Amino acid sequence: DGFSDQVFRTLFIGEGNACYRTFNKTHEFGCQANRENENGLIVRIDKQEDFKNLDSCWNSFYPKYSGKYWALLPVNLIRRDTISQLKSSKCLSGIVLYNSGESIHPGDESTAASHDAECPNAASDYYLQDKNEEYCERKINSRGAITRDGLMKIDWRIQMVFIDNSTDLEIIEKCYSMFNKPKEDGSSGYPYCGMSFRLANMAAGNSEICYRRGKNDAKLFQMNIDSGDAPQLCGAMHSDNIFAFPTPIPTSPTNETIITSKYMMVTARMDSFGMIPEISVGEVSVLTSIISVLAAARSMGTQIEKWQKASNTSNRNVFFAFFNGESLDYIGSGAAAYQMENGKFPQMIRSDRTHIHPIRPNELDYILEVQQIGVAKGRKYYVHVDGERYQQNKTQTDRVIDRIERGLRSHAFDLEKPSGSGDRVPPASWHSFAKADAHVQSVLLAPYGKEYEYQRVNSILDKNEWTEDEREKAIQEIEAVSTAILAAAADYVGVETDEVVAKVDKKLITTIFDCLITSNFWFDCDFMQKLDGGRYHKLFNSYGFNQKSTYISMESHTAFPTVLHWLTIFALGSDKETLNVKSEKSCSHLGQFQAFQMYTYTWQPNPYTGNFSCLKSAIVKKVMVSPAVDSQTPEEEMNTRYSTWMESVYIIESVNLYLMEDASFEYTMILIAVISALLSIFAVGRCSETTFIVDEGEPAAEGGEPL
Amino acid sequence: MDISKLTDVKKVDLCKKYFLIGACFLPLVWIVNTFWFFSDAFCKPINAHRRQIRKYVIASIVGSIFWIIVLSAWEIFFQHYRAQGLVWTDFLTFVFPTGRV
Repeated sequence: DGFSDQVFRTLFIGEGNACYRTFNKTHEFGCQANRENENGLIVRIDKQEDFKNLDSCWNSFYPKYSGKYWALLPVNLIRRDTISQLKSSKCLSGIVLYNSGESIHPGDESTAASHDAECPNAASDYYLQDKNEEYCERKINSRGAITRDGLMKIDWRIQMVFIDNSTDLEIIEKCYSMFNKPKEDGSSGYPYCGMSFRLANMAAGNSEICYRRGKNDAKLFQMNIDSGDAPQLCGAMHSDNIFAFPTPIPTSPTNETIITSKYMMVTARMDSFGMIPEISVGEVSVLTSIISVLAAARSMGTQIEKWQKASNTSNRNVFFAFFNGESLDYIGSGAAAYQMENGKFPQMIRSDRTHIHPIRPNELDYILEVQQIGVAKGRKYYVHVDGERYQQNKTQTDRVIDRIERGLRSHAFDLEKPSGSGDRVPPASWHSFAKADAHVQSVLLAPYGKEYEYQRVNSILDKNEWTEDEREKAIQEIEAVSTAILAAAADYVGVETDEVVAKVDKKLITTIFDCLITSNFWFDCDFMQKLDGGRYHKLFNSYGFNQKSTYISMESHTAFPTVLHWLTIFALGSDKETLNVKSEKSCSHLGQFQAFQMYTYTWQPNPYTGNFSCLKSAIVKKVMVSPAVDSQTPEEEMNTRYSTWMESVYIIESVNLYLMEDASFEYTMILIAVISALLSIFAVGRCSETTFIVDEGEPAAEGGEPL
Repeated sequence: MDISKLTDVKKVDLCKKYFLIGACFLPLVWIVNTFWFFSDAFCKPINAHRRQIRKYVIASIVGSIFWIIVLSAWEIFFQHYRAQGLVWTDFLTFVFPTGRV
């Protein structure tokens, strides 16, 4: 190691900053290190024209070099017209991605850079699985998608690493400039600056293979000396999902009474991804929609008595669901639908405890989902329903849609209503529940009609530069959508939709928008710092824990579920009944030692004042694993009704920069070494035993004479 | 063991023992037997003892070739299907290759 310090300049690469292998039931995707793609000479691709050099393998610049290259490439140059060159190049070892610093605005239509497919989640579509449609019939993301199947579904032959640290990037750029940058006459010579990087995956093939190989009975001869268990090769993508019940219904003590209620589930997805999965903020794909639901929840939370009273009378309830893994074939909602069918949602029931009453799929009347808020063209929104189901319950659904329209109109936004029985629901959590129950209705509110207007859905570039006007417009949209959610929910439950109920806190929306979207990290703003109150610790050296990422991953290595959980508790939690609780310990005891397990008690600060209090809420933070890859549900193993996405366990090494010498230099050094060795042999070969005998008495002594 | 110092009677006895041990599904013993007694069986003047040794050596050669064919065929067959990650091939695999099917 001491010697390698003198040869290499090492740059540490954290978990999540590089491309690794992912799997679905039939294929493997992503990157894997091998002998061919570890080392290379560093080159730059700064603009579109530089891709010509990639085609010619930079022969004109480095005629004497016949090896492979690591290309420094800004993320915004990954486009439709460049992706095929990157995929097919035979002289690339890999690419070093970095943020170019070029600002992209939310309304920018010149950058079609969605890393998702033309038909997101096509394989899990309700209409496909119900045999009503062919695969990918409605290309809803065709304007933005870089490739037909999305960049997550490419099995790359190259490696990729993302450099976010400006110091590290400068070191690589400096190394390139000093040794590799062609001189003014276009020539360059040895030594060159080379780079090596290695990410080795444990698993291969597809989800089915690696899931099976991780089981203890996968092999006839199972010999695992360390733990006795089969080593983990891959893991199901899973993370926390958050379910909040403003008006929870308790289970009866003896479980004799089965209570049947009706529910409207207000939902927004909490995950996104990019070509390197972890590198994805998901500003429009995730965050704006979540802010609108949070604002609605907060408004409801401040007047919970009215909602409770109305729910008790009408036997209709509203609850909030933030599903994780929705962009990867509906991991969260698929698991929730499965649990609902088996009476395990939202909690596992113990007969001696009181829990939130299980919700069955047939109790779901509506799934009100919001998507891609903040990027509407003009002031128009669309509501998407399933045409057939809409016709079955037109009167009631029209009423819900009418309230949504009123909510939007109160903020000067228009709503395009459903056109008829042929309407199909775009990719949304509803698809998971539609497979479980034939009556559950979708009400999807979004700023797109037949196709996505926003061209960077699920992308590393879903990270915008917001001008003051764009920010204000986005906040207005969030406020309007939040009002629409409240209006629809209030009417469904039976609360009077007067101004008091439907008023959302615009100041809160602005604050959360600035904290989650404008700030560099979740806890950079005052509001979030106070909400944190010293509770957040960067436990892992992963991208998701140190940078803004909404990727689901296969471990809880991202901070976002914690952020959202705390925000949901702030929105719906109450300390009215716990004012006498003055310490964290006594607050946690409230939750632990009670037979009444419906509520959780969280010692959390108020984000405005920073003062801690014990907040009571019926919020369930739950890790959801797709039943198809969950060892707890072997009967559903690899059932394609559910998501089969998995991630490989991998070993990531550091980036090493080093100087590459001409091959002739190495041959010369070998020749010198061989000559030296031969000379040594000749020199030593001429010696005899006597050569080394200095004491003349030794031969005599060997002859038996005394010394 | 230096078999050159053994008498022909003992050599026959040893060669027979190795042949019988090899018959217990131990083809490597047959291969050792072949190499060990090949010169006695085929390169030295023939006599009654060496005729017996030749018999066991030929039988060991035939047995070894049979095993080589069987094992090679199995290996080709198994590796062909093992690379596809099938359930039965995984079940018979001792160590899963890292990062490869």
